[in-house]
Amino acid sequence: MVNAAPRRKPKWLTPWNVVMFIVFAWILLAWLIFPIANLLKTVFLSDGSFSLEPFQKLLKSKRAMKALGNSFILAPTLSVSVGIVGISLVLITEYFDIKGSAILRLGYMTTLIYGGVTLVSGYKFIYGSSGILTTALRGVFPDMNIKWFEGYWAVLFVMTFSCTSNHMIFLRNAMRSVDFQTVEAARNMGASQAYILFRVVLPVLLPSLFAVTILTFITGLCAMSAPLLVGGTGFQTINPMIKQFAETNNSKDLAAILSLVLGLASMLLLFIMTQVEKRGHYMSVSKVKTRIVKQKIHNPVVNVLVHLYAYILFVIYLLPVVLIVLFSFTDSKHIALRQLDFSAFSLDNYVALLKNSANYRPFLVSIVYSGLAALIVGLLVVVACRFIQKNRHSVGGNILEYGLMIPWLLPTTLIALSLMLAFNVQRWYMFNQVLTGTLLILLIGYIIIKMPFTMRMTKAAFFSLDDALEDASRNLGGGELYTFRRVIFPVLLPTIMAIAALNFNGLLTDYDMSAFLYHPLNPTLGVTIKKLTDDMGDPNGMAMTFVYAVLMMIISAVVLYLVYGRGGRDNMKE
Amino acid sequence: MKRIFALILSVLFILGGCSALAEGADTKGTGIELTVYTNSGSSGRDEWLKERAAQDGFTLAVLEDGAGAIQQRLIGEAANPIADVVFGLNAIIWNDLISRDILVAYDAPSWASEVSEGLNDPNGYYYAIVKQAILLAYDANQVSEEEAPKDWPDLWENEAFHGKYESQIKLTGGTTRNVIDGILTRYVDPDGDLGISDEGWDAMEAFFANGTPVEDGVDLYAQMVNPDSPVLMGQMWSSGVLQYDEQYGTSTGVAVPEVGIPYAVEGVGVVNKQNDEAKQQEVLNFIEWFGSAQIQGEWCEQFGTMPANEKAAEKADPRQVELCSIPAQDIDWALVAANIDDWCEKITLQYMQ
Repeated sequence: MVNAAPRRKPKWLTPWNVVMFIVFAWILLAWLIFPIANLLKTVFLSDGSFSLEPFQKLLKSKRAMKALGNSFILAPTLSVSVGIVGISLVLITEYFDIKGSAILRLGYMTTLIYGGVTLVSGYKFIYGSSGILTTALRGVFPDMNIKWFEGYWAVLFVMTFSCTSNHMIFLRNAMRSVDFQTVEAARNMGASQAYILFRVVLPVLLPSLFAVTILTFITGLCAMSAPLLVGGTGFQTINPMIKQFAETNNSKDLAAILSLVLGLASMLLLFIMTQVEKRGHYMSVSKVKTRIVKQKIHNPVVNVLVHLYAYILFVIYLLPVVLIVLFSFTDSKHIALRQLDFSAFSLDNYVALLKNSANYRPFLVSIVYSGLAALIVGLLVVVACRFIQKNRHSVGGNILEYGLMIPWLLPTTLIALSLMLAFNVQRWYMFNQVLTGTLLILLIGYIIIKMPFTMRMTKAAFFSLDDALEDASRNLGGGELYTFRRVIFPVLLPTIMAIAALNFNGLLTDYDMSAFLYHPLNPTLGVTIKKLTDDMGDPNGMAMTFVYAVLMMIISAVVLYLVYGRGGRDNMKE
Repeated sequence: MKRIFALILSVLFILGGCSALAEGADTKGTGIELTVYTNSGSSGRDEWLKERAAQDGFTLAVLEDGAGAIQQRLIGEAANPIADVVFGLNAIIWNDLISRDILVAYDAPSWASEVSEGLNDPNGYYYAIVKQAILLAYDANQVSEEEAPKDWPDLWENEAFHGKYESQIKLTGGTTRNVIDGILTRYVDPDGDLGISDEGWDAMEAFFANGTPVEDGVDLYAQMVNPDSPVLMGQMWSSGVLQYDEQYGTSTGVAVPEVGIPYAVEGVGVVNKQNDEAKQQEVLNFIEWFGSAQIQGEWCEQFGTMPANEKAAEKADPRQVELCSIPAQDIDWALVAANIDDWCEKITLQYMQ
């Protein structure tokens, strides 16, 4: 079936395909296209006719244009810097023989358990105007500019080290599937270590590198916390402005335009990358793979330098986390002034949080929601990817692929609004069920926002699958479903689980989607945390956000260990 | 026997009287669940309210979120509202909700007459419960009263204050919006851009150009006590003053402008929703109970707020009373509600640093 010329004649009319078609057509139309079209209509045609005024407003605004420009400067440069650091992390932990690489790896993986404002605050504890490093430097150079850590380079620095999560998971997985026999063969033919690295090993990483680079690019375009906290007046990006406009009644048209610009840029890049990916075949050609053996660096000088580099990175990664944990034991004043004063340490924050049983509920709610959403979106996308893989050049496959990427076109706030507006009246496409105020609507929202990422990463995993496995199963008489269930799925499982863990951790702190859709009796963690720093809130709210951050780091770490730590080890079975 | 009979009779009479005539905090709930939306539930206020209400027979589900988010949610859910009662917010948002038909007017509860004049909605859509003075605050430990600004325009007109005050980077918060409308409504001009004269927009431009932008995640008081930060003054809401002074060791001084200051009036309103009669009665009973001098007094003792109810105000902290005795600025809230989004959009696009 697969061997002859299967792609020209997809067997469209199998019952499986029909069910699939109905399910995905419904999801795309009812969850995404109808609600978003409805929202865009209300936003752009609020006065009954389409007007160019919002475009003119934006074009006239120097501030908006500069911020947009900054986002487009940040995205490509970040893709390069994260790419370099990310690849080096993978080489340090998986390819070269570095002393203490197990500990180093844990340090490099800290970005998987925290992010956003907390993470950037962690960096400010060190490099900010009253940070540890700045204070130390000031002792030596009393006249130095204490605001040295501000602007483009500060943003790039923070984001470079905080956006390597995907590299640490997906690129590392790819590195582990490099066939060591090819490395040995190259060496036997007299290739140097550098030659092997650049001509034999790195090319195998390319499909994964493409996928994670797209993600980095989008992260750069949509940068939020880092520019806000360390960008200063000189380097603000567009996303904070989009978010503000999205939250304001009359400015939603501006938010939609700006985010469509970002979204279309992402899609363009995605399209180019997909074309490049389709053209090349980057698979390892070996059929009997051998596990990679860590390479000792022969040149002693290079060896020392690489070790030094590895440990400096380790310190850069680890310090912010350590400081966040330490500061969670102090109060908002010390956090705001960044004074680490051990006499101010107390367990008060933790006691305040843990003694009130009402505070446990948001944890439970968010864990259940995030878990369910991660699971469902994972399953949906696996099925979709299987279809796309088998119908690579068909219209249906392309529609499905790009359709599931639609959520990347709009900010989460607007998607949440679109769902709220669409589902608060009876709609035939939702079987006349009103969903506002139900527990279901937030789950749908969570599934939607995680579709593009899941799609992109799962597809990369599918495409790096060795076709020979499937052919073998078929030749041995395995049916379609059997082959998928017993051969393909188990091979992909570690990646799918890793994606699910990342989705889970990401959703755990979600605020943008939750804010509009959460069930009155079941606020999520993100909503609970946001309240702490709200206008007219508690002066000690900042300290409490750190306590929440630490507790969530623990949850995320446990989840990663359960899902990925163990799954990762099984990865090499094949 | 006669005595017991008389006693029973009198008890019955009192009970019967209660159910028909109960007023204020004596009103009892029937236990029908009410969904309450508020932005005024942080620092444990929502939990306190649920427990306190339960003692008097009310069963509440309280949804707490930022004022803007509550507003968005109510607008989004308008076709099928979930909330029965909303409390908190401010005049700008109340007027926006009224203009969108999201609230219904209701008969004045018995305590409405005890509320300071001018705070209740004249059309009966909401009645005031808490008032929050929107202040220009400075640290009196570092700035003497003579040196301190007397009114907002001093900040940009007097070069001595340039860089010393915080200018906002987000205009979605209630306090920020009240400061902006307090400034812009001094320059109302029907022929001007968005109803504001050129002079007004120049003032707004100067206000943002000469301030030090907020450092995200760091509050005003942390900047005031930080020797490396030039910031010594900025916007503040009255009920936060005490807590912040305690936490940061500051001594807050406030500007007392001749034109008065904006007040964020937290009120309580009824959502326009098809409830059955029993539930609608429960909604009104809850409001009757919640706004009473007794309950508002307990609330203010617990959370240091300033009740709009003058009887309850006796229980308020003297410092709160002092801060909230600054005369209210005369602001056309309907005008503000109709324009504030556009004003904020213009500021965000053109003036913000």
